[in-house]
Amino acid sequence: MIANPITLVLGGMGVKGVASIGIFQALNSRNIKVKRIFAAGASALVAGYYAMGRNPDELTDRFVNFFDSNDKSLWGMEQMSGLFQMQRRRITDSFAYFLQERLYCRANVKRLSILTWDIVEPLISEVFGDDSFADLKIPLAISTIDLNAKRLFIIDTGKLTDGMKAGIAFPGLFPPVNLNEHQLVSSTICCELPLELVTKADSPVLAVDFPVILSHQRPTDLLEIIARTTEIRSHAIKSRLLKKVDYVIRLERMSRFRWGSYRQIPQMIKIARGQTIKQLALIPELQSTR
Amino acid sequence: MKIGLSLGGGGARGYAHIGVIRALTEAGIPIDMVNGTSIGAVMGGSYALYKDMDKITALIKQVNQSVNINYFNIFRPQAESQTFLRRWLSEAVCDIASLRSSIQSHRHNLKALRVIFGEYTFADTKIPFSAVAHDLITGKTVIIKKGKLVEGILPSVAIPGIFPPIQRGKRLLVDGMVLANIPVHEMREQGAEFIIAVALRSTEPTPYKNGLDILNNLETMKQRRLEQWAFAESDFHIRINFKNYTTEHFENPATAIEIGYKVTKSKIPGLLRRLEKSDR
Repeated sequence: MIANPITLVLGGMGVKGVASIGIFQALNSRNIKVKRIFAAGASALVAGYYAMGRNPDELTDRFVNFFDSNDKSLWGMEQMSGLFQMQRRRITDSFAYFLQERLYCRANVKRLSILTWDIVEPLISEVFGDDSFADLKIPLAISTIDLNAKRLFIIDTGKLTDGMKAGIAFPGLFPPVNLNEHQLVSSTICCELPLELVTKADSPVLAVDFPVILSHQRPTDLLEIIARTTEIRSHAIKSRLLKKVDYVIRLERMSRFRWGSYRQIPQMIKIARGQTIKQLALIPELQSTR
Repeated sequence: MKIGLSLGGGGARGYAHIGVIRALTEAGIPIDMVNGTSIGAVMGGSYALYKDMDKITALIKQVNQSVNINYFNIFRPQAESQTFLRRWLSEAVCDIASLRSSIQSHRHNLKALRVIFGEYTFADTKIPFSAVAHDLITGKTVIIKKGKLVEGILPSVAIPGIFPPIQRGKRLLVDGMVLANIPVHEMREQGAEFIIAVALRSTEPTPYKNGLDILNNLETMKQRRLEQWAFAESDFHIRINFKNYTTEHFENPATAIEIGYKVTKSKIPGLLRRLEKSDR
């Protein structure tokens, strides 16, 4: 029996999106064909590479090297996404919390973002070169948000590098990307998965969700309160949209990583791979048998 | 058929709800039950209690004279003349953010609510009324319909970050705007068969100058998404668009009331047709 190819929906906050490498490994090992990909955040980088007909495994080392060589400028990202809070007995994976923590909040009052594109641009152009969306073997759509229109903005044409930049433009962390007069940022902060793009025609749809444990069970300060409300909203939007998807893979074990845990990329990929394979086994109708 | 009115939140724009209710009653549309979030709860509660729009307008005037409820005006980009002060304040807020639970206390809110509701309870209202708040512990929307009106409505106006959350038993309550800025779903749960939802919107572009502005804009977007779902669940919705009328300008009720009245008046024929259809 040959199963129908699937539409894949990928997302994930921050560095976690890179764990999509493991998801593609799992799909390959189960011989599942992909006909279309919707991606948001860093998973777009992996999905783009896969859609070019390349093996996403090759990206692992690149990412690890990238973070190793930029350790100095990114140290705060990992620390703030978990370490500091752990010392203060506050373990959180909240992006909103991070951006509004004192140091970063002050930085964000003064300018558009904490980081600039200088760090990431070389990596993106090295991976995608001058290729455009039209060169891809599998159609890919990257979900972003148009800041002025306050609407979702889908990128599926033009240069891949532009699309990738807009895809990972986490608001507050990177400045918005200007593309044809649209100011674009990543849509992950509204909904981790680009589920709004899914239509009936895309069936069967497989979404890979990274469930997060809501942090700040008992929020006390202003920051925790705001972070919790944003999380509750994003969570509500995601759970509601997930209902219309045919198949959902929930990578619960990914919740031990934080959005900024860039030192743990190989472990993330391994866990994502293992859990995806396990859960795919429960959906035999997606797999071709010979 | 039970007709329910769901009034949305939106700070000072909420005065428009008075105009909405006036237009609806003039058209002879009976309101059997009402609920609301934030300012929607204040206006809905006062309608349910008094059913007298003139009295409510008078009470609001009294609130404006006796209570200072113009909070955080200074943070608005509109206050161009005070850029330096605004920036200094925003930075100060960053600094206190991990020390305090909010920018303001409930002192003025309580004062204002006491002027409007006095010692009345939910049982005193002429039609069923409920206020909608949000429990931060469970992450779920909470319907309040018992006890004193002042105490029931207060959690509903506790905008997270601006006012401190209110502890009630195991719950930690804030403004229901987190998930239910227009509490249509909650109204349905209470047995309304035809729901009119009222949303307060701004049509103005929101410029961003820094990272925090961007984050705020995205929060609004998320809220709009949730509101769209509320509209879809309602039987009829009235969207009131505001221009140059911010959520903090409490001193100018007449304009907002007028806008609410005019918009609703223009929607009445459509509403009557829809009502007729549902009645059959």
